[in-house]
Formats: sequence, C-alpha cells, structure tokens
Amino acid sequence: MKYIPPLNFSPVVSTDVSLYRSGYPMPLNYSFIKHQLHLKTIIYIGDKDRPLEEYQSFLESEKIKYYHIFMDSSRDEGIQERMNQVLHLVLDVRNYPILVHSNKGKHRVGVVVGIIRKLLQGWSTAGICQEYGLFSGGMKDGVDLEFITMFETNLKIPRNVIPGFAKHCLYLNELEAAEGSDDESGSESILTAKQPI
Amino acid sequence: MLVPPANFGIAEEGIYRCSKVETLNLSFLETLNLKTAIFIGGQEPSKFFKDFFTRSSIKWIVLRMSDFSAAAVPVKSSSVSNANLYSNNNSTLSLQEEKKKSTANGSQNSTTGDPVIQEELAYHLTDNDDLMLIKSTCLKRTFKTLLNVDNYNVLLVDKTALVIGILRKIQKWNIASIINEYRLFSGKNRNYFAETFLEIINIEIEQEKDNKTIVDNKAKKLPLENNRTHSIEYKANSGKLIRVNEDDLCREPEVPQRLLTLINQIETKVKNNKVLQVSGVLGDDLKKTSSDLGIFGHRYRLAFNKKENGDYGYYKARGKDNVKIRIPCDSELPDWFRFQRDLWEKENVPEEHHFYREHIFT
Repeated sequence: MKYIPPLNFSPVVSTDVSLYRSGYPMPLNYSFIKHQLHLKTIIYIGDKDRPLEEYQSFLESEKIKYYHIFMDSSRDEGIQERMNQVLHLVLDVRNYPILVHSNKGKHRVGVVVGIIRKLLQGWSTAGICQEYGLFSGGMKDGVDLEFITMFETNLKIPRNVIPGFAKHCLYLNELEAAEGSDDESGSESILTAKQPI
Repeated sequence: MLVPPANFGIAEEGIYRCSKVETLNLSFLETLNLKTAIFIGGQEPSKFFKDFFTRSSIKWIVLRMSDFSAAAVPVKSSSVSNANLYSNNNSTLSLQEEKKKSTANGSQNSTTGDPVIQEELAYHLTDNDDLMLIKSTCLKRTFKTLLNVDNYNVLLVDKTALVIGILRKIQKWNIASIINEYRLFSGKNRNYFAETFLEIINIEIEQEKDNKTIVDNKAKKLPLENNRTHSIEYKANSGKLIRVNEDDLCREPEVPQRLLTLINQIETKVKNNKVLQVSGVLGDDLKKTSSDLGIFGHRYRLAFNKKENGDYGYYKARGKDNVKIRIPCDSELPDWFRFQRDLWEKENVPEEHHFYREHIFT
C-alpha cells in the first residue's frame, strides 16, 4: 500500500500535538489522511466557497470538523480578524490533530504558518522568511513577509486548553504584559504581539 | 561605454554601493564625483584604481572584517600603512571593550531575576561569535566614515552586502524589508546566517558634541599630510579659489532653520500661556508652583537640553550586547539622516520640556 501526501505537505508542529500544512487534498490523498494523520480538524484558508463533493463526503465519513477561513491574499480587508480566528482554532488543544491547507500550500498557508512561528514559537524573522521561501519557491514573498512581520494581535485564550508548544512563548508574552498592567485574570492568557520600537 | 560595477546601487544621497570594482568600471566611477571609497571584506583596489584615486584626490579606506595583529603586517604599501593606523586603534578599542564587557557582566549578575528565562530569551552576539559576520570595530570605523557628510560622495565596496543592511537597521526599517533589500543585492549569494545576523544585531549610537569639531579637524589633517602630499597641495590650491561677489556680501545673513523653529515653538507656548492667563484659568504648571510665587514672582524658561546634547530615542537600541558606534556631530551628519531621525522622534518619542526658575528682580 502506498500513501500519497497532499501537495506541499509538511508537519508544522509535531512535539506534543500534530499540526500539518498542505495544499488542497485530492481524492488520491484521502487514504493518506485517513490512515496516517488521523485528523480531528481541517482548516481551509482559501477562496473556494464550497468544498468538492467527494471532499465533503470524505469529511463526513471520517467525522473531521471543517472550518473555512476565506482569504484571497494578505492584502484582504478584514484579514486581521480571520487570522485571529485561525489562532483561536490553533490554540485549542481539543482541536488537534489539525491540517491547515490552502489551494497549493504556498502563500496563504505560508502566511498562517509564519504567524504561528512568530507568535506561538518565537522564531526569528530570517527563519520565517527561509521557511516561507522553501514552500513558495522564492516567488511573491515581499508582501506576505511584511504582513507576517507587521501582524499584531491581542487575544484572550483560556489557559487550560493551550497546547504545549505555545505555552513557553505565551508565558514570556504574559511576563512582558504583566510589567505594564498589574491586573491579571488567572483563568485566561493574553496573547500580545507588539512591534519593537 | 560606461559600465557600472557589479550590484551597483544608490543607498542614500551621497552613498553608492557595489559588490566589487574592476578596471572596466573605471570610466563609470569617474562620473560619480567620488570623494571617498571604502573597501570592506579585505579586497584591495588594484594598481590602476590606486593611480585613479591618487589622480582624482579620492581617499580610499580598506577595512577588514576581522581583527589582525600589527606585528605580522609588513610596512610596504600605502594601504598597509593605513591598516597599521587602524591596528593601533584596534588595540585601544579592544581594551575599552574589555572594560565595557566586565561592567556589563557585573550589571547582568545584579539584574538577573529569572536566570533560566533570561538566558533563554535572546541570543547574545559578541565579537568572538561566528555569527558576528562583521566585527564591531569594522562597523564603528565604517559608520563613522559613512555618516560624515565631509566624506561624500562615498562608494562602498562590500561583497557581503551587509553594511547597507545594518544602515537600514539604524534607519528603523522593517526587518522584512531589510532582508528583501539584502536579497536584491546579494542575488544567488544570499546567506541564511547573514539574514539572521541582520536580525539579531543591535546598534546603539553615540553622537559627538560640537566642542570636538576643532580637534577632529586637526586630527584629520595629519594622516592626509603623511600619505599624500600631492593631493594636499592640489586641495590647498583649490581651497584658495573661493569666489566672493559683492552681491553675496550685500545679502542679509541667513538665520538657520533650527533657530527659527525654536523661536516659533517658544512664541506659540507664550501665546498659550497668555490665553490661559487672560481667561482667568491658570495652567497646571502655574497652579503647582503658586506657593513659590513671592513678591517678585518667578518665571520659567524652556530648556532643550536633550536634543542639543545629542540625546535621541532614535539612537537607542533594545536588549543587551549592543554594538556602539560613534557618529559625527549634527553639523556633519547628512540631511537625509537628520530628516529621518527628527521624523521618527516626532512620531515615537513624546516631548519633554524641563522647566527651571529664573529670578528676575525688576
């Protein structure tokens, strides 16, 4: 038996939870997803309104939760809110294993993974640019990389469902935020990303 | 036919950049009206270029990216004698850096609250590190020359393309744009560790004060006289040929814009104070100090100490282990640098005015 991963497939996080990235899954990839990944959630970042019929039936038969976050490019209006939606989904450990995919797994998923690397894992910008370039083939990287570096957010997340790979960075962010304000609720973590002056 | 050098570009007004120069580019370089050429990375100009520089009164500086001992360098050519001068500076600078490091270690020991988290936070970049692709001594000499308007027009020959990236860091560019520009000029030679170096390095700037200009001018003349007597004679002759017309003498003296802006600020604040007094409502400052008002009263004057002393938030960098570079005083900085600095200060740093009392017995 041979399994065929989707286009531009790669694990993003594989320590305590599993987060994968890829292009759009085709029917020849369904057996790989079924037997190898054991997904609980699929997040589609793209511009197709409705999934393919066979994809829809595959999701229903495997009982995989499907979320569609519309994104045409990183210059869309309302892109901030949609990235926050993705972060909320990724920061809930009950949703794992997760596959985040776009149509080709290049630019839109690259932006989402770049934001995850920056905010939740504390990667350097050079490392984020290098990883983005690996999947995009070095094309069309200027606007997306500027969007990743300029992205800021302020989310409140329940503390008990944060996955392990993100706890360290969130803890450090909380330390920095606590220096400014003394009021701190015990049940929630504040994810704050500010640009250094 | 004019052939630009490889990876030629204009970094800022007065600063040209390229990765290397060849004899083919000589006629193109004549059109740039160069005054200074900086060679970084140990590549030295060839004989044709040395003759061209000497003939055109162009000062050239060869900077290596790593330290070397003066004893091993034979005293033969002029570029090596330049290196000897810089090697002497190396020894004094290294001693100063060792003192700074010892004090920094002392401060680190006192400030460490959570040692594990503090150590994990940031990667400390020092001169002994392999990731420090351009050492701090080379950066100090480069930017002291690069940000002095007396040296313009400057041609920067840098195969690594990193010096302009660090200049963009000083100019507070976004890191994605810095890496993007680095990739434009490095082409297929781009290096992941160079991009990481551009991201990690922090530059702290220390500006000289106006009192030292006379001493600096005297210090600058000495090495020139030692190295190039012919070029100095040429400059002396050209210096004497200043044309002064009667119309120039009859004009009114020009007031610097800096003084005009200061006067306007003071006038606006005085008007605001008058409006408050006329309406019968005292300002907060006056209310606080009402108990100090005596028979003769007190007046207050605005003090602009920070900017006149060269104390700008633009010059400071976050984090530890910053590379400190010294730049010339305000009059010798290029216009584009002052404009960007003042614009950044206006947007990011709140204005602070220090009031002090002035006793007037009238």
